[in-house]
Amino acid sequence: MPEEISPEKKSLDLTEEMPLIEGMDTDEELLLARDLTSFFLKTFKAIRFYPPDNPTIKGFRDQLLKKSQYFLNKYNSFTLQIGEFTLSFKDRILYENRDTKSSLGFLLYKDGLRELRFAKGLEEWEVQGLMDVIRGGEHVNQMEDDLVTMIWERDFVHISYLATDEFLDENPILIPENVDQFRSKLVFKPLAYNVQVDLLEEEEPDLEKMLSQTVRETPLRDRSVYFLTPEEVDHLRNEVEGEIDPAFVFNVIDILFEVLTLEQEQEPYQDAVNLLLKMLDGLLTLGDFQRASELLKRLYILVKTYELKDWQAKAIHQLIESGGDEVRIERIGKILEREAEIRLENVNEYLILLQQSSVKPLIKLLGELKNSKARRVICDALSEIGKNVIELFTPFIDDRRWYLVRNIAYILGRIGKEKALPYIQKAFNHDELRVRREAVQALGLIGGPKAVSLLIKALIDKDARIRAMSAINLGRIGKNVGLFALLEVVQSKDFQKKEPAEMKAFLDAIGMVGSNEALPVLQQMIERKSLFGIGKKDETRPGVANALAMIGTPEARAILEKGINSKEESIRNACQQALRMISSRESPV
Amino acid sequence: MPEKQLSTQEDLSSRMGAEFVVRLYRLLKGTAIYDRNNVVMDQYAQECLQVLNPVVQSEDHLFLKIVRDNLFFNNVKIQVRADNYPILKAFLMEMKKRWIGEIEFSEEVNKEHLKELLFLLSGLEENNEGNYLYVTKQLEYKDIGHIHVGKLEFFKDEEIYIDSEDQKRRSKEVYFKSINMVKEVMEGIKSQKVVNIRKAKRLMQNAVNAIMQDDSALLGLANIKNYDEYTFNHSVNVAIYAIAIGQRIGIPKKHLSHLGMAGLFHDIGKTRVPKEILNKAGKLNAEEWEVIRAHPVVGAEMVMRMKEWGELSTRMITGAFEHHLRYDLSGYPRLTRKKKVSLFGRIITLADFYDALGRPRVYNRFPYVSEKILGLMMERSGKDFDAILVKVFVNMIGIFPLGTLVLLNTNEMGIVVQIQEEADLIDRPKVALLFYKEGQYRKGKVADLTEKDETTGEYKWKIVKTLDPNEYSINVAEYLI
Repeated sequence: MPEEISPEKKSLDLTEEMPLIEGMDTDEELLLARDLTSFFLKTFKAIRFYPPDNPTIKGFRDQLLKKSQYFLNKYNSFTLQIGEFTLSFKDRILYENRDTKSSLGFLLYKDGLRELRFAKGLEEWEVQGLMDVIRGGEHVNQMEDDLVTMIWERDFVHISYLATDEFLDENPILIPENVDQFRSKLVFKPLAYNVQVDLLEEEEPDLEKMLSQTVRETPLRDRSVYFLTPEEVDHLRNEVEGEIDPAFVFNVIDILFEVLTLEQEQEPYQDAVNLLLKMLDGLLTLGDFQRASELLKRLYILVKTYELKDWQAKAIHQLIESGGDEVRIERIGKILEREAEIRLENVNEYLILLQQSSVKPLIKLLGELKNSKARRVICDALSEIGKNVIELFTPFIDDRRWYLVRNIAYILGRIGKEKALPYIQKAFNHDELRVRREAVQALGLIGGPKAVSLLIKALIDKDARIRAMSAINLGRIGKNVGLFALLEVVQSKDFQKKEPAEMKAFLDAIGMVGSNEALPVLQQMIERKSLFGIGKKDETRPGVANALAMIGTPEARAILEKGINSKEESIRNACQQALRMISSRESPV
Repeated sequence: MPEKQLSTQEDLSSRMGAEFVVRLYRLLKGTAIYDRNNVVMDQYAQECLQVLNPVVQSEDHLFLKIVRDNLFFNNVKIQVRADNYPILKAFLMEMKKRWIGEIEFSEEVNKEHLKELLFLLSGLEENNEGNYLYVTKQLEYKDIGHIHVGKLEFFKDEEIYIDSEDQKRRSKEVYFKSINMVKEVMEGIKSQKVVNIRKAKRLMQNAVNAIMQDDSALLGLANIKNYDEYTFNHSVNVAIYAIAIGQRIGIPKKHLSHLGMAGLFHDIGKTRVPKEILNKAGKLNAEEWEVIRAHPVVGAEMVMRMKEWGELSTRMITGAFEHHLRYDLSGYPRLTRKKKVSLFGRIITLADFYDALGRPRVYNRFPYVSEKILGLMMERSGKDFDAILVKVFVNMIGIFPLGTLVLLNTNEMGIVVQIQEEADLIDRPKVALLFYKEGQYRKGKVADLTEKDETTGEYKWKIVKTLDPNEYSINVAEYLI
């Protein structure tokens, strides 16, 4: 997230008061050190001013590296001495700023840094790393971190430091200088029982006996016993690499689940729940929906398998709900928009585990998301988790965003509840054709007499695709009432004028119903001579024969068998093709 | 980006570098034993050249450089592994002692020139900053212009790396400050104060620095078992053993400090155990055991509250939760779902066990000398402990660990004060001989058990057996502080 720039930070003042030093003009090393320090300070200012991804920052880094390398190639090392408010080189103060808020000297000094050293061979990653440390150093939690730790953890090769940590000790600590001082702090008391045996499971361990046996049998003198094989060394290397992987932080999930099964106190239980939520956030931010889903699934298992107290169940339930609250759904949206690599099936797996409370934020996201594949995933998930709350969807049927209305129609269709029909009807009457088409599909999925009657009406819609889709949906519903409407259309004079795709849809729909009621009409269509010329009639016949094959009853087959003896070649061919289809269906390879 | 990540090419260079150093070190050690014309030296030199010359051919030069506690091979850091650690460490020490920080071969080298270099290096006096000038001059004089050596570069405070007394002083400071810090933190938690993790982190960084330079000082101090309260002392020891194991298997610096922190606070859950149970010397009843056995879970929960979730808190939670689990999960807490105990968890388990059993008899019902503890650990490896880590641990601690009281074949008694890095010499540590005066044992000269008698060629000393310090009223820690 770009840093907010406060009004007074509108322009960057890179000037830095560098005191004049007597004799400096003749000392080239000092002159160069001053120049380098000055640029270091400018870079520091730039770090504070610009967000990290700003290209200007890169420019500063490259320049700083260049200047440092120039100095180091000449003098091998560069040591910046850090005073409370000053930066010096070879005990000559090059910079002084007593303002604790803006002084670089103070920023470094307060954490105990006393010298920063740069050695020949300095590399880009080290300069970048140091810049990151200084940026981060201003915002660390003083109880947990400081600049020294941050520099130390980077393990730079060509940057080192001198630091003091005396200031961390509130009271002087006795470091025994001699045996007497050492003895004065020794504690002579019998150890607690738990300390003696808590390493062993046995309630009454006879360690004496165990050890006396061990010493007899100890194999230590045989070196081969502790010799590491090359395979063991490689195994260890792999283990180290696995363990230092940043994703290791998620391994705590296992521990947290154990805590949830063991803990009976409310406060620590809630702590574990809170931490799990952070883990979930982490996984979602990384786009690791697979592991995020696993986490949710484990929560559901926990609820089902264990006899939880009310407050425990409530905490878990809240956690699950939080996994799909507005904030997290927004975050998921951003990831879906940004990351092309994310496996959408994993996203779906996660979303369908959410609660009804996630319906609203998901619909909101649907209205904002541009990635069409991701939108589909959300629709599918909503169809699942919103099954029993269609009232949450229906208000959006009047939304001004046509694409959202279309998605809502899609979802309502998938949910398949008849009480959604008035809203689907609204969608069917929408100005946008794509919404109307979706509504037709939804009608087919919902089914029922009302949906059928709407689909029948749609058979004479002005849009050819709607007509075709309505036909197919009627066929899919498979009701005779729909069949009669379809037959009526195919027998009409205008049918032969339709585009082949629409004709095929109608004939397929009749075939899908699978009823002998259609046979007389189909027989007539396949056998009658065309009123509109040879070509058109030939195009219809394979479609009709196909419909007969789809019906597949003995009576339908009889019509086809009769057709193969027809004098007309186009009838023969269409019927032969359809019969082949039946036989391949009956005996699949 | 925490540390610079190695590419495949760099990984290869690192392995090649490690191999070269192993061979070069063998040659260096050979100079102390064999004559220049000895066939063994020829063989060692030849083995070195098998790595050296191909590298020079392909990369125009071979450049070995020491930067603090790391070796760089043609500008690639040589990664530490469990098998190469002792040699890399030993080579570093040899070079540092002589103030040599760079060796560069700019052309292919022949056997004689290489041997010349190694004999020159081996003959250098210790702690002489000008050594590199002497070697350079000698090489020039012998007309060997394609081998260059450079001075070890240190900034002023880093010179302590060479001075063992200073190193010891620093280690002591880290050790006793850590005990105090653990006490502060644990008592702070009890009185519900905000915990200052920052200080603990800085101390663990110093511990890592000290161990990376030379682990013997802090491992020696880990023999202290009853300084201040047991839990504090024990926690610091566990951290030290854990860091020392970790560095042997190549865990990077930052993670070593996290491992140290996890070791330091593994028993943090015990602060919630009522004092009367925690300190009860008599047998505990079932309910009391239940309270005790809850401390790993309680500890994990306390870390959750204490620290923001991140890499470090993950380590600390894991360390607290897993340190009684055991390798085969037969310990506690009992898990509902099988999981692999983390590497850090397994390391802390080992360290915890070793230190807890190594307390002196005066304060403990059971007297155990290290040899017995190590034997027990070997016996239980694969069940309670990770078998490979146990091997690493034995390699680290030696079969006569620091602080072991031993009887030598000369009938002298001594305390082990330094372990040899080379695995072959694991049974020949350095031993501080003890003499009895004015009612107590005092520390005398240090005998290096690798030393041989010049006339007979036999080792001067040999360990006959280990002794129980309690029988002699000796607190070995006093000889190691």
